[in-house]
Formats: sequence, C-alpha cells, structure tokens
Amino acid sequence: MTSFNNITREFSSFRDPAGQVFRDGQGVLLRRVNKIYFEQYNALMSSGLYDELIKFNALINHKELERNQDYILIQPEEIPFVSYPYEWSFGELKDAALLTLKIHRRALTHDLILKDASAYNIQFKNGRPVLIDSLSFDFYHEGEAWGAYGQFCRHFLAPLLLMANKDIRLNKLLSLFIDGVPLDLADKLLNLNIFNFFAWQHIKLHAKSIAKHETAGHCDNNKNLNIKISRKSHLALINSLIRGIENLKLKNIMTEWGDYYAHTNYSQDASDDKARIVSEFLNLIQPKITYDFGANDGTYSKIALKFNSQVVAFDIDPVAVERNYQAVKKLNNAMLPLILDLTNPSPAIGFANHERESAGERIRRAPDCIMALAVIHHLAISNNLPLGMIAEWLASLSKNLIIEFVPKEDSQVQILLATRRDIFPDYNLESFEEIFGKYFNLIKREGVKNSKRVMYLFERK
Amino acid sequence: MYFDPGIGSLIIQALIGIAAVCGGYFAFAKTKLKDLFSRNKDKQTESKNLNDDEL
Repeated sequence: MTSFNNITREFSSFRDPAGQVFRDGQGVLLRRVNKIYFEQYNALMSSGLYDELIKFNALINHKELERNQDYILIQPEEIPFVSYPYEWSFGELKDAALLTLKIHRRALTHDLILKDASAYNIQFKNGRPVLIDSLSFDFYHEGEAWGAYGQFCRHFLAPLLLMANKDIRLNKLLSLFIDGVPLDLADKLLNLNIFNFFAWQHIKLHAKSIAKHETAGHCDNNKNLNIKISRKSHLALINSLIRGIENLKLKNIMTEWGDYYAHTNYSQDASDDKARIVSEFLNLIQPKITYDFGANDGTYSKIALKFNSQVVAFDIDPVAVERNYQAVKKLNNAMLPLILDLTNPSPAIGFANHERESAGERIRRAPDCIMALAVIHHLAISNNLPLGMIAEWLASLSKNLIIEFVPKEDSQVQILLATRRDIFPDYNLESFEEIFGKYFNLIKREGVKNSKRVMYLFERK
Repeated sequence: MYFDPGIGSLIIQALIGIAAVCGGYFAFAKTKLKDLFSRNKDKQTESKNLNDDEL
C-alpha cells in the first residue's frame, strides 16, 4: 500500500469525490481513484472507450500503479504547461468545446457520459486539446438528461458566442466567473433574437428557463421533477451543439498587432537575419522548454521547435494568437500559443485564490530559455516599466534569455513616442547593457542586418 | 453528479433535444426528396453514424 504521508496535493483537485490529484515525495504526478468511483473507472477501462479515446489522442494517457480494495493509484501523463480558458484564443476554446462534445458523444456509445463539462478539464498537448480528467465519466441511464449541459453552455458556448459576435477579448470573462459566463449575462451582452436560432435557444431560452425554475427544487424537493430525454433526443442535442459550434467563426477583424508582420519596418533581409541569429542563439542553448514573450504569430517561436524544444508562445493580441494557433494546426507542430499581457498576467483565481494558479507561478516553474523579441520598447516606453525591473523579472524566470533591443531611432519606437513626451533618458543601448549586465552575463551580441536593432543572448548570473 | 445541474437546464435540454430530433427528421426528409429529383441518382446520403476514422 502506498503511504500518503509525504504528498503534496494539487490544490485545484478537490471538487470531485471520485479521486484527487497529488504529487509524491519525488514530485511525480499521481491520482488516487476512490472506492465510490471503482465501477465507473473499471467501465471506462474495460468498455473499450479508454482505448478509443487514446487512439484519437482525446484523453490523457495513464498507467495503473496500484489497486486494492480502498483505492486505485494511477499515474497520468503530465501536461508540459497548464493553461486556462481565459488564456486561449477563439480557435483553442472552440476546439476544446468540440472535443468535449465529441468525447461525450462517443462515451454514449458505451453507455457512459461525461458527468461534467468544465473547460478546466481540457489542456493542450502537442498543439491539440486533450481531456485530462479520466474520472469525468459516469454511467448513462436510459432517459437521463445531460447534467453537464448547463456547465458546457457557461464554460464554452457563451464565451465562444461572445468572442465571435461581440468582441474577441470577451473570453476574459472566464477569469471573473470561474464556473463559466452566467447565461443571463451572456444573453444581455449578446442581445439575441430568434434569427440566430442556435444561440437563441442555448443561451436566451436556457437563461429564461434557469431563471423561471431556479426555486423549483426548493418548493418540490425535487421528488416530482422527473425530466426524461430519450437517447435519440440526447444525441440530437449533442450533434446540434457540434454543428452549431463548428459553424462559429470570428469576424474578420484587425487588432493592433494581429497583422503585425505584414506591416513591420523589417525588410525581408533584416527579417531573415533576425531568424538566423535566433537560430544560432538557440543552437548554443539547446533549450528543452522555451517561452516566447511577445511572440505575435509565432514566426520566431517556431524556430525553437527545430531544437525539439517545447514552445509556449505568449502574446497580448488575441488575433495574433489565433493566427498562430491556426498555423500550429495546419503545420501539425507542437507549439502552444496563449494570450498573455506581460504587464498584467492572469492572476490566481478560485477558492482561496489558489485553485487556478497565476500565469507568473506557472511560467516561473519551467523554462530554460525565454525569448523577448521586439517587446522591450513596449514594456519600457508604452508601459513605463524601468529597465532594471524588467531585467530583474526576466532573470527570475529563466537561466537563458534571448532579447532584442529596439533603439529610439527605430520607427516603431518613434511611433510610440509620437504623441507623448520622451521621459526615458535611460532608454538607450549603453544603459540597457549596463542594467541587464547586473543580472546576466553577456554570451553573444549581434546587430540585425539593415536595422538598428541588436540581439542579445544572456545567461543569468 | 457532484454539482447541481439545475432544473432549468434539464428542462430546456429536453425541449431542445425534441426540437433537434424533429429538425433532424426534416433535414433527412429534405435530403431524400432532393436525391429523388437529383440527376445524380447514385449519390448516397452521408451516414451520420460514428465510425473508426473520427472521434
């Protein structure tokens, strides 16, 4: 029997009594399946559903380590970087939604269902969404409605509709509402009518039904409320959700950085030279894990993939991240594009402000290389961050840093200074090198051809 | 179910499910009629059943 004395519990794993996730003394991620869930777990494994989902890369793999009358111990495969739905692009959230529905649909063929439809049950592995909660399955009983339908609409459908129809940034609402966007709020923001029939029924009618019946349980003690839905209707509902979500598309919108590389001041020569320098620097480091800050559409992030590095590409612009994700899908590469504002990264949310970790805590854990290309001037000039604070912060995150200094003479910086006073006397190459030199050793420095920008490879002191 | 699904969600789901089945029959009938009058009589209605190639 495993001793559970020297374990660290994963804080977010507390809601489901079926089992808890924790780390053992060596930091290995494990999950304990409790006795009350034995039947469902055995059904998942013996019905063929587990093997089918693994075949489609839809469910996280796990090894069974121990089994006795009190518990089953499994070791799930670890996700390289945990991300949350408010950090995903439209396409990522859409694919996560479709995966949830398709897993539920396939589970039905084995007389099983997904008992919950939380967006936090989905993570991204090798550029694709995957269900990480193996204990999310329950038995299907004929006539039973899908208990997770409301949660699915809050976690996935409402934010997708808001992003597609109102504003691409509205998935941020998921960081305010940890159990998904309330449907009455989504209804008010979307202002739906019957001509958008798909959204009207799943959001507006749904919200009205919830409001009308919210006291029904208190009055009747639930004993006489026997809502049946045939398997055929159940399947038709799921298929209609799949079709409706597949048809959701972002309107063609321009954001500040969404089309950046079509309108930069880089000549093709300069762009190629920058790529060459990045490749040479990465070759010196051979990073296993690379985070690219200000990655835009991943043009330079993908260079790290050639060194078999796991790559997470962060950018503030949701359109750029979406473009990157669509390229990841098309090229079938393993990058994870995420939305992140470096000056206001996702905070810790949930119970005790600890249930979902802050972006800072997650980023600090892993990388052996950070890239910060064409981003220093946004931090220092647009956001008034002192170079010393930027250097100290970057040094706290990773041993190796590839950073591009963009001088004031550069046209992009001139645009930033066009409508404000230049209050940045220390923003110059000499000060940059002196300040960063306090936290890093300079390994290599190279100017970008046909540009005044300079690329640096630093190693933390 | 370790959380409360909500009566309102269950009710609307039942209604939408019935509507979806009716809509499905209507779409099926429409496709069959189109096939009947279509020049390409060999065209087969696509099966919507799950197969081994897709999740």
